[in-house]
Amino acid sequence: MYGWMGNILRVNLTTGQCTRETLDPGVARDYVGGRGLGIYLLTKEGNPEGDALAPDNPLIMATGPLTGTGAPTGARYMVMTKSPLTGAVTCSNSGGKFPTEMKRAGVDAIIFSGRSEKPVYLWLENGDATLRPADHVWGKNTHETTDTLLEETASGAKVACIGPAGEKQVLFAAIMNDKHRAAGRSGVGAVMGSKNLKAVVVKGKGRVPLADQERFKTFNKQILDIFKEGVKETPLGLTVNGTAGVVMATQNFGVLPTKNWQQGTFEGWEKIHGEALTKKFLKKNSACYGCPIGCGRLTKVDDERFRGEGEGPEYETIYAMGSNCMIDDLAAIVKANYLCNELGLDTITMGATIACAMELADMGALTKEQMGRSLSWGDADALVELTRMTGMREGFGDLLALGSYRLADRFGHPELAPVSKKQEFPGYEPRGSQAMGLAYATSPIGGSHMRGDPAYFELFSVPESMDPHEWKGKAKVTKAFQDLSALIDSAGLCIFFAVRNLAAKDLGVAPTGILEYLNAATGADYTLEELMAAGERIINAERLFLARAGFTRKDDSLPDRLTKTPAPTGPAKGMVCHLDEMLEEYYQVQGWTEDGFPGSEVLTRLGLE
Amino acid sequence: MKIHIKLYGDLKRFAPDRENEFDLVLPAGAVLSDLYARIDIPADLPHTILINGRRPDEAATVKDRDVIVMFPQLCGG
Repeated sequence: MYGWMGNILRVNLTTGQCTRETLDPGVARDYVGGRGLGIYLLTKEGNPEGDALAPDNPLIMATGPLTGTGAPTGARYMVMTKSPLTGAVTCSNSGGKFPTEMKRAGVDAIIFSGRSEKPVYLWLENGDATLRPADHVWGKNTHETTDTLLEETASGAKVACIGPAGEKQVLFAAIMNDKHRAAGRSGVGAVMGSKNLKAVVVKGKGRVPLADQERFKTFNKQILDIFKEGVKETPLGLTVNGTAGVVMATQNFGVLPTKNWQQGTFEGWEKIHGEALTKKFLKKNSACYGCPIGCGRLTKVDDERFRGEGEGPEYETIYAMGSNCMIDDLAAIVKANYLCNELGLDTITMGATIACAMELADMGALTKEQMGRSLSWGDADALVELTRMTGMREGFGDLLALGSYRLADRFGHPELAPVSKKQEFPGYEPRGSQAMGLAYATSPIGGSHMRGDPAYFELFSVPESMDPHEWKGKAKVTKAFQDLSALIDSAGLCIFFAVRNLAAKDLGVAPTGILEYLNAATGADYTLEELMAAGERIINAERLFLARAGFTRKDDSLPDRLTKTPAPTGPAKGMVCHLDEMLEEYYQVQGWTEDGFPGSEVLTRLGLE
Repeated sequence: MKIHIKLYGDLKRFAPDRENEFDLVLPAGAVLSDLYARIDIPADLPHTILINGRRPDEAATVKDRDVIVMFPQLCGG
């Protein structure tokens, strides 16, 4: 097979057995890879109705056909399982160096099943897989774990692991790779911890075989030349200030979530903006394998209270832990981000849960006695300390470890949790960015910007501008973006490069560049229509998993705060998110029933009946 | 009439006196092209312009005390 190593590794943690299976070329073609391959395997082997933390929930790590090929940003892998936070599917995506090394080590995907009696880690070297004891790193943070395991395996190996948060099954624990990159969302780290699997260490010398090397090389040069020409005069914002540079845009559009989503503007925004990060804390940029952008931030804080060194923060972290908590102390946000990376926590859910606790405390629904401390808006010390306590599940941190929905529900105010399907939103306020509201409500993983990101249209004018306050006609572009995201996630690419450089403007967001890369790499000879149908197939397969897990139309929702309470400040002042109207239109565009189930016509067309 | 301009990111280099925020006096009824005639941002440089937080259409007029924000193309979070 081309574009693939041709192997799936199956690791039964109950028996300790590692076996190799051949990747089915028909499945690889129909589901593209990565996220698509993940939902195919999860549908086949998982139990949508089961307990996410039970041994029978498989944990799947899947690369895409472009991972490790040298295609720009072809560096990613997906972690797919049933989420303990949402009960829905996960699509946790990460880059760095680990995914490429995993493929070089000879496998396209790994399926972990069962539960080990004692802590173990997987050592995979050039196709040889063994489970080794991990008692000596159990309890260690992700940095210590990575260093120890590299010492006892091989230099140049790459590590994905969990920290204490995953071991203790914090419902939003992440799987960290290369120390600082996160398969962050929906609690994939908790599933890994429930299996007593501490880490996956990979090393290999394999090369990804390409179907037509010349064609691949020619197209690659053409794409990179266009990219380089475009940034010759003005470097990309992502390169200069990382994703943190987005603070300025969301503030000015009035969609920077502030005070637990009460408003979309934050007075202290300039103190937490990407320019402040660059000026005060940036040491240098970092890039994933094969990435010409380099949005990663290697940072260092010398401030005595928040001393540390590591990577981040991203924009999403800054919104969640900054404006959303009314915190304008950037050093504290950077420090809390370091703690999330070291303990293995999702920064979005962590920040949003603390902000929700701040509101509960502010209104008196949570008392000092219940928290073991005081908590008020803007408390930077509390942000750092509560993040640490959550990762360790100490004291009040044990409640925060359940995420904002369960916290707010326990104290009588579930409506204050900024979630869809119990997962916290990223940092774009739907009252001033209407299509984002639809994307959050219909994302298969709950609140997310990576499973379809129409803010590109609404805020960034990529590939073209749309009015962020208009809700009519947004269903179509949201669906198009969701399909495109499914293909980006499945091919093994990063959204930051692909949307701008590999999608056709005149066709909405058609994956024209991804098509050429995939055909040159795999020889699958997709037509554009076939590839776009594959994107739809993946979305619909995920939707079927959700339906079997008990999700219905009522779960495609947003909190009343966004759909009934008018925005109090900024350019969107007076507006609400028109979710019901958009949803109606969206189900029609999808060919789904009024209850939100994929219609029989769609299922037949996509071969999912 | 007087309008207030804020330039961000790389567009700061087009600000007079290197100050990213400044006031500009324009004749009443001025349109966007009058504004661009005063700030030397090349037409082919991709950027976003907001008038009071809203993206204007090309023929938009500018009013007294409008706040105009301009920044280079960004994406992603």
